[in-house]
Amino acid sequence: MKGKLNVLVTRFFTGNAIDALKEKCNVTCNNQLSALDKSVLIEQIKDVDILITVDDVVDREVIMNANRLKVIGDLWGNGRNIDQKACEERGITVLTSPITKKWINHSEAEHAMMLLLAVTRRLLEADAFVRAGKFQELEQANRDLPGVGLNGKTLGILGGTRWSGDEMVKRAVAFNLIVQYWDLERSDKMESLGAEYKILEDVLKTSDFIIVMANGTQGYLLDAPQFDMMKKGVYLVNVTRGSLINEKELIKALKDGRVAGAGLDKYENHPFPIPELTELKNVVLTPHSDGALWLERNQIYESVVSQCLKYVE
Amino acid sequence: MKVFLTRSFPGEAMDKLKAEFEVDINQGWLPLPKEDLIARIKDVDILVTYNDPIDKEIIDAAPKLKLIVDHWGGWRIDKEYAKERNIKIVGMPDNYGWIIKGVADIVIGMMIAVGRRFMECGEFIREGRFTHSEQSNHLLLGEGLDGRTLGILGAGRIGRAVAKRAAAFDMNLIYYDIKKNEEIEKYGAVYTEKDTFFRVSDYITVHLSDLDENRHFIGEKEFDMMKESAYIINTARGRLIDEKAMVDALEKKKIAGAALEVYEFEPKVSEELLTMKNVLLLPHIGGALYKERASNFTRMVEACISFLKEVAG
Repeated sequence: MKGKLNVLVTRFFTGNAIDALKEKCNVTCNNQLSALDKSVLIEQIKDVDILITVDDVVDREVIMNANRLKVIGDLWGNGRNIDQKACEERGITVLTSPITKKWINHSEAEHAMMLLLAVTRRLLEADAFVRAGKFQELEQANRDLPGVGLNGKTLGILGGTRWSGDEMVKRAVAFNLIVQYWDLERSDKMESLGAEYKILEDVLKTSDFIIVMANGTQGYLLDAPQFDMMKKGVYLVNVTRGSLINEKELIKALKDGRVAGAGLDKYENHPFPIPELTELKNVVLTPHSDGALWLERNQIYESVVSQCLKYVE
Repeated sequence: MKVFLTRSFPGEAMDKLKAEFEVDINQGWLPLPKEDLIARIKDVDILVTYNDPIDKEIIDAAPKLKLIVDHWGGWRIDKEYAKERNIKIVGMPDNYGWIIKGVADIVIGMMIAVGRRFMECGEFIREGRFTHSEQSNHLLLGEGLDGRTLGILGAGRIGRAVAKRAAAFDMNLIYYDIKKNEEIEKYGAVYTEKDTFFRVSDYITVHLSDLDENRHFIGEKEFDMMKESAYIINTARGRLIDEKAMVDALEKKKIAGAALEVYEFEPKVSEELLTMKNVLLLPHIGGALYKERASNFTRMVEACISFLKEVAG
């Protein structure tokens, strides 16, 4: 009668799937948020049958030390952290969730739209206004909290051809925004949904709102010269890499009005925003949360865990 | 000619008006009490109004009155009596497009903000608790729109504008109204019988007409039917929801949260709401769009000037 299987969960994951695992197996579950230290992983993986991982380094060295490993459950599904060849040699199967990663593209575009609405319509400022007891008169908002509408205005998307850009265009056009984009390459999909390709300089000069979704570029995409090129009073949103924007220059532009407001989920000094940024009124900040959805993450965790358990039975 | 403005209007057009007319104005954003209005319009030729009620008594108090220019549709002017007295009425044509879109835009923003806990996210950062990029997947998990069911209560112009936008976010749309509506169904919204509507929605957005019979349309019974994970959004009129019952529902966790633009006793907001984390409270900002209102005022002033030319010529 074979004993219970040993499962190693490399770090904290969202959801309840751990309960199913604990019922059926001996589970070691680390609780830290970051990737597991390779040396620790090598230690812990010795007698493990099932490994549940995301982005932890599972290279040849790790695999060679995993004497009993039969299955790897890869939650993120891109497998770039796992040495596939070594797995093949050892007869280890790598399983991922059939739930497509598209959920994260939808989520990113949704979050970006939210940042844009929040900063142009001053939603969080308005919420603070009400909580501070300042809502005293009808019609007051027209005097104290006037905002900027989206209808008929121009949205410029920087990047996105390889990641989330199509989802962004689809959502933006529903608000009657005119959409233009720039990237290192063109995207038929984005264009078929209504976006017009333009060179970077033109997008910067003519957009009322700019959403940064770039991925493949190096260095600052938006630095002092770019802030000077932008339309005065532009609103800026960033949901991809913080390192693309010179945050100090952004702060200058926010203070002198070249940029009317900014909605940010990522920061140059990953993961933190410069403290000065948090003191400005015309910014909306979220803590790298554009994928912080319980339902989707739980579904993926459950799906991978149930596949792993089925496989070893 | 003498012009009296019943309230302040935003924008630059005031100078133009003063150049052509003798101008008197009730400074501020709230209407004058009737007796005060009557006292000030004795010699007035033109009235510039903001949906103020202009009845027979007021018209009789202004024997020289020739023109009324209203920011909206002049709905509260005694049109028949004005006609008898040969007073021209000019309302802003198709004025409502801008506010319909303005409100529909923020409905989407309100849903995402409350689902994704934007208010908490901002606080999290400002309080210095943001230290790791994975934290939000642990501490600030929220709800997205993708694949969730949006219940649209009322298939009028704003309800339909919301349907258009929500469809782009891949929401599952259902609606309830006293009768079926072909136009909203073009966005994929499915007519749903009232009880089911409340039971299956993940988000409910209120777009009912402000009629006496709709007062407290949503009350304890409806909150009991709603999912515990559901959110309610109200941008219509406060009295459509029994605010006391809503506060109770939130306190007892019968629903997950709320995003409100309007309140039953506006501008008074139920005290209990002011400290709840899972609500977004806005001071009726749906139509608080500077450019649009300023441009409306410009058109109103131009209407006055054309009238002047007509009479002179």
